[in-house]
Amino acid sequence: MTRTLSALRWMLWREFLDQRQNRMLWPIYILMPLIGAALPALIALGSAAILSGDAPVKPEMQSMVNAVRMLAAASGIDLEIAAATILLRASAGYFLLMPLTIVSIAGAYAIVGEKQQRTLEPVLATPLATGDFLLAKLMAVAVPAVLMTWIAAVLGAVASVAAFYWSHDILVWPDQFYWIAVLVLGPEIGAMTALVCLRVSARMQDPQAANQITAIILVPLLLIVFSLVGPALITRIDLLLGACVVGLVLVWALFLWVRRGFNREEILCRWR
Amino acid sequence: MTATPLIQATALTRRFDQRLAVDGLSLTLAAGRVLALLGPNGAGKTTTMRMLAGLLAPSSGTATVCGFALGQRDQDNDAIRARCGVVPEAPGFYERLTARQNLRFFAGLQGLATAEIDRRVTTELQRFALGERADDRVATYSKGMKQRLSLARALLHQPQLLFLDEPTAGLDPKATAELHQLIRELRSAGKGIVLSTHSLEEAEALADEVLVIDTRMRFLGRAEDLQPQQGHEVRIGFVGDWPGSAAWPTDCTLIEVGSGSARFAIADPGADMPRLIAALVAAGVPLLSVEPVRRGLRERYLELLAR
Repeated sequence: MTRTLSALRWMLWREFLDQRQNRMLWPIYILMPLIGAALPALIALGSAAILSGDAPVKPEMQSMVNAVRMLAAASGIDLEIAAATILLRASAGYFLLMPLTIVSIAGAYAIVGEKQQRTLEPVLATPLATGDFLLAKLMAVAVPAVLMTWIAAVLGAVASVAAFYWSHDILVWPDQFYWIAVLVLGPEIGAMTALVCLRVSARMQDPQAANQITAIILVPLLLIVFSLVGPALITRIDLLLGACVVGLVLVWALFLWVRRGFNREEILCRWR
Repeated sequence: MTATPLIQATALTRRFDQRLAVDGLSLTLAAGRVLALLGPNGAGKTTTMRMLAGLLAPSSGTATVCGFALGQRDQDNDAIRARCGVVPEAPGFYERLTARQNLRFFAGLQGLATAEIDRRVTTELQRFALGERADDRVATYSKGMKQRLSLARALLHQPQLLFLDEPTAGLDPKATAELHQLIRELRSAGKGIVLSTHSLEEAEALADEVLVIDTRMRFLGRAEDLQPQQGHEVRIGFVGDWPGSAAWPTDCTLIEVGSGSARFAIADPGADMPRLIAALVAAGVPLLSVEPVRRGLRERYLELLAR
């Protein structure tokens, strides 16, 4: 355990130094969190018609309108506050896509960097266990993305409170749906993306192409899943918690799958 | 009592899918000895080193490295890697990091204690004359400096056994001489060294034992045993014309005559050289020089590979 923690510490230290100096990564680390921080506030400012109830209800909006009415009835709050709360919950969807996007791009650089610099052989020549290597790579790619997502989500929450108060004179805080999605489901999606990214990379000659393939596989898949279950996830806490548990199981299963197929030989012989 | 060898391998074989990379390799290496791996490109030298360093599992065969069974259990392979230093063919450093940061990272992965890391890193940087550039990014280093840094990295954890994969490739003569000196020092310090090289002269100068490999083992023995036991050559320098016909002593065979030089094969330099010189003078050859040629290392090597 001590050995694993020590290896993780050094791998993460090195990744931090390397990524800090990699200017190619700066735009993705800055741009996406900026959008994320601004999004809830933009929704607040742009939703005057919805909040006032003046907007015509389109068929595709019907489920959200229903959710607002249900929340208002169940919690005994104004429709306006219920609508703002539901909008904030929905905005958390961005913070689920954010780790996916950052990880698939940063992951490409993390792996391609190793390949281009021929650093895998000296790293694997140390007593670093394959599982530790994999865990460190996973964390090195996923942790910065998750941290940026969390920072953006907190800033976004603060900005949205201010925006709702300023534009509609109501005090609405992001509730547990928002925070559970951001704090639990987001990291799980980031971890899943990183694992798929690593597995696909190990199977291919060109890790950068592998990471693009990862994004091509995962983005539509997650969009389909969230379009199907998204409305339920912003209204039913049991389903949201269930999704978190399923996410955790998937991360664990993916880690085992990747760990089993991801051996030193494959890295040495294919990542050249 | 004989000390346990650092490497004891029996019938090591490695396949990559259907391709046989190394076939039935058996060897022993004791501490304080240098083993040179010779062979053409794709002969299995790097695969052999990777297997013995615990990086690749053998497809079959057994080996004990630094007292641990190779490829049996993860713990044993980790223990082997902790006792081996590897200088890969391509140095492989994080170019955006400084030399010191790179070494600290690898020392950390080797499991050195935090307090020990800085001391060892500074020692190795100074040993390889990189102290002044220690805080420069590796991207600014020359090939020779990266090679020295690679050696520093391999020695950080004071391994018992070193694997050097073509360490002098691309180095200038001065850097090569320095590296050769270092290898001799490490050997004197009791390290076992496995050196992969394309240079027969390097193998001859440094190695106690030589392994010629081309997927299969073609030769394993002392470096001096690689020399042909029979057959010597003499190069004759002359001016003017070569005599059209002349009788040469027994055991002196004319191999070829060119412009201003001729080559003879002789059996015994001590006995045949004076007789040959006398015969040349008698034949009226205007001699400029008589030079024994150390024939055979290259020819012997090529002959071994052609078998």
